[in-house]
Amino acid sequence: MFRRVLTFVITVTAVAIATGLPLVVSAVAEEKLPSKSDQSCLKCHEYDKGANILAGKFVDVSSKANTIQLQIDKDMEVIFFDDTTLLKNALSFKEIPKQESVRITYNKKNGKIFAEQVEVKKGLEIPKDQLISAEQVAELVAKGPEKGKYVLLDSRPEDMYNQGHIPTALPMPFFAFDKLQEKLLPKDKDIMQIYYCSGFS
Amino acid sequence: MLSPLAARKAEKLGYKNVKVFHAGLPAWKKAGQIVVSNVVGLENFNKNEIPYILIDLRPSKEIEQGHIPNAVAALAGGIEAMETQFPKYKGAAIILYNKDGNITSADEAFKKISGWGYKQASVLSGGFQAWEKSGQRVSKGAASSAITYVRKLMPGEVDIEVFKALVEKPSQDTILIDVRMASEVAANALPNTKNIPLDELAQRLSDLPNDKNIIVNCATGARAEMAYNILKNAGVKVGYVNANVDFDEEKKGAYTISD
Repeated sequence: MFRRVLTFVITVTAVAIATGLPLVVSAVAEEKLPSKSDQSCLKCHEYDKGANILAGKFVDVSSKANTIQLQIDKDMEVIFFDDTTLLKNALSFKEIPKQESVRITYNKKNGKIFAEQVEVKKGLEIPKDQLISAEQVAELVAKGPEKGKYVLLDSRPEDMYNQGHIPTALPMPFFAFDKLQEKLLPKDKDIMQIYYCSGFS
Repeated sequence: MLSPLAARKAEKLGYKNVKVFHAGLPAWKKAGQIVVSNVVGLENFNKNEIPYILIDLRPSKEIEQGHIPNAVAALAGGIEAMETQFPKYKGAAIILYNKDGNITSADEAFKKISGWGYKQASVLSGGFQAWEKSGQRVSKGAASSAITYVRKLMPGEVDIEVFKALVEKPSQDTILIDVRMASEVAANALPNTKNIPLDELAQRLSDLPNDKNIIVNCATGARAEMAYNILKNAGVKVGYVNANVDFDEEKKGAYTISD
């Protein structure tokens, strides 16, 4: 039933096994920085010395170089990652919106700053004006997509959609979004698109 | 969990009018709104041998000409007259169908059943017509008027009575893990359970003894199922509890575990 969602969960699990968490961060914190790193902005912007955490705005990711660019105040920091890096509140580095606040728990490897964990701070926060209530959805559903001028999209795996969905909804599993968007999303950019899934549970 | 991410993707594509119904399907059901399923979902129940109750709402004459196999005919007295035949398990899948999937005509029966507390009720999209059109087998003659439903535990699911017994009287070879958030557990927790929040679980595998069975629970069964999948894939001997765990607000320590 959860097959598509699961592949993601499994990855996270594999990451956790590979990194052998929990980490002993205190040992890392005592390590002296190599002179080259002393010049990096890390020194001034260390978010919390004891915990080895950096906080800043996400700028970009390079999957070729396996690096993340993080903006801390006015400076730019390059942080390395690999497939053992644990990502929280986002499904992949590419999904993280630019300028989103992230917190990175890091480690030092050969003088490089290596991300153990990247947590997207407001990963799932939704602007208030984007939220729609059950009542409002019901009003639209009663009118139907044409009269109500909306498209209702179910982000859950298709198996779950088949077992039960909101009337007039179309199946658009999140993991197939890119593949389906051309087919399902209205040409008219002003038509209301409503996304739903299994809520907060 | 997924809908806000989908909305973001849509906005990136330049769509201006993007909304998120964040409370999602559970809130929709709670509001008593109708839920629809489809022929593929019904086929999957058959394929995966998941038990379900299928109710034909059409007049008996139409049913005799052809109905979906395993369907039960609604009694002349309507759904209400059948209440005692329904299973105790409120998570049973219940599918209602009529001629063409018209929601308005199935509305009354649906609302009765969901009003009784059944959480997995739906109206078949397209009704009998959609079933016929999909080339599926059709049964002729009168349909049964008796509901037979035997609950089947899903892979990894632990019998509720077994879990209840373990909560009361812990066993040496089984550890009970509550995967709710620490704040929820601080407010109320079942006796003899240990807390590891779901989002920390993958990082705390080493906290789990590998010579014992693990049983995970949460408040509804949803997070427990996710925890089960994480642990199973990590090679842990694990089961999960698909039940509602409720705490008495007035009497400290009192709880109920129910389907």
